[in-house]
Amino acid sequence: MKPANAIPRISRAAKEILKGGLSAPICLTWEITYACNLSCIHCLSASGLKDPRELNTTQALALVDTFREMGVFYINIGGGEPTTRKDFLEILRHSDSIGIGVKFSTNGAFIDRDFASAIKGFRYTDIQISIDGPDQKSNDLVRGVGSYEKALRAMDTLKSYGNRSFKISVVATKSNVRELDDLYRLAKFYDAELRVTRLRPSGRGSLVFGDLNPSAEDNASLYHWLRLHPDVLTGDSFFHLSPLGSPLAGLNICGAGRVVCLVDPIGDVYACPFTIHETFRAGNISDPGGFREIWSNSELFRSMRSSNGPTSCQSCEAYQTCQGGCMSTKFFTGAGLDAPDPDCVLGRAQGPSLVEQVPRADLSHSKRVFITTRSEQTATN
Amino acid sequence: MIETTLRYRLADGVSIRKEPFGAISYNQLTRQLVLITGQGVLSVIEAMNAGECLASAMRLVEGDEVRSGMIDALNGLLSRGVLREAS
Ligand code: SF4
Ligand code: SF4
Repeated sequence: MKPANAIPRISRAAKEILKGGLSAPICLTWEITYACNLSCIHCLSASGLKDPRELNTTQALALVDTFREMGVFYINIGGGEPTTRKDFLEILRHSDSIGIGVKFSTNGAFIDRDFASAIKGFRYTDIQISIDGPDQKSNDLVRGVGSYEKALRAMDTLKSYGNRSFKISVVATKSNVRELDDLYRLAKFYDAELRVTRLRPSGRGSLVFGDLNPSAEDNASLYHWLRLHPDVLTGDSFFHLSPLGSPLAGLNICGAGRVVCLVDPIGDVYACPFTIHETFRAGNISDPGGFREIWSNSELFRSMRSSNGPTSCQSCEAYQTCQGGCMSTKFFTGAGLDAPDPDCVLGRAQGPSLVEQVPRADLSHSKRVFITTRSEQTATN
Repeated sequence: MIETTLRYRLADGVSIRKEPFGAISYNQLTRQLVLITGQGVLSVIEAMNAGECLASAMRLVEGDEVRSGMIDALNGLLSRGVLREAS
């Protein structure tokens, strides 16, 4: 028997262990529906319309049991808008009763008194209200007219029902990156935690990435702001900014297929929430052996666990903290997986590869959405 | 510091599972993830959960070096809030 050791999670040794993969995900994202009442212009899953093949209640509850048996610590439930599912409370209740944590993201439109009081007693359920600007103008530009008011009403309801502290979840964009102080104040007003994550060019994000992705200057300001606000959660999404100084808190690795993955509404399993594309599809939970077999033995996940990272970054002095950045962002911008992150803070990004076509995100669940940004108007579908 | 005459249990909200390198734990309330390298920690924790004190649970661990590493690891888990004294 080797001596035991409890090692700090962000040490180099811990990173190497985690990159080699775990027996089960630490957490996974489960988009439980593509149905959504809103049409946010940057939606990572390009949601809108319910897929007729969506998992039914029996399948959904059985999947939660599988996660529990495997020892998954918690599930991030998203969509689409999860509260549009009639059985959503049943899924939450079941998860809580068997001790599996759930963090769910919602636009808040359907959080009323009944919902707030129903979830009040759940021990391990966290709510994340999505807001993308500190005021109506800034938020509604991205999330649609009326969405700010609905989110605020949901937070008022949760607060008045004494629900455990919730989170305000923000995707950092060129438009809101200078408004983080105001978002922080908004969160404090509600006794909520603020969570800021990176915009990725997946789903409808692929259509607006050029316009909404923060500039190098914005990213530097974001990094320093995050360093000054260690209580702000980031979902480990800004480790590509770490070469600007000390590493940000988090595992600081690409966890795709190693410590996280995504299950979509029809049971397809992808490497991470931002990789909904055939290239990163590892299987479907209805395949022989189900989710457990996909996690343990799919060719895709095994290859990710044995990958040494992007070749162009291997000799970079910042590789240990940056790890070459985000695979999804490289893929959907056409940079290629062996290239540095398109937002490489050392200025080594290579732009789209000339030989590859930029991969297209799946927009088949989008409602027809007119996307107005500063420079262009695009229609999905 | 951990006391061999006492019994310890997982703190509230902590889940732990076996991994090929040892074990991994997660605290649902503090979001803290801890990796534990080396084998045997889970068995010792399980024995304490079944009512044994640490000294008794340590019978599962052989070798002076390994026993001392185990005590260090358990101290680490106690200070990180993974374990707490059982009442
Ligand atoms: S691909 Fe990007 S978003 Fe997905 S796990 Fe890796 S770093 Fe995170
Ligand atoms: S070259 Fe690669 S590892 Fe180095 S900072 Fe840029 S993206 Fe990160």
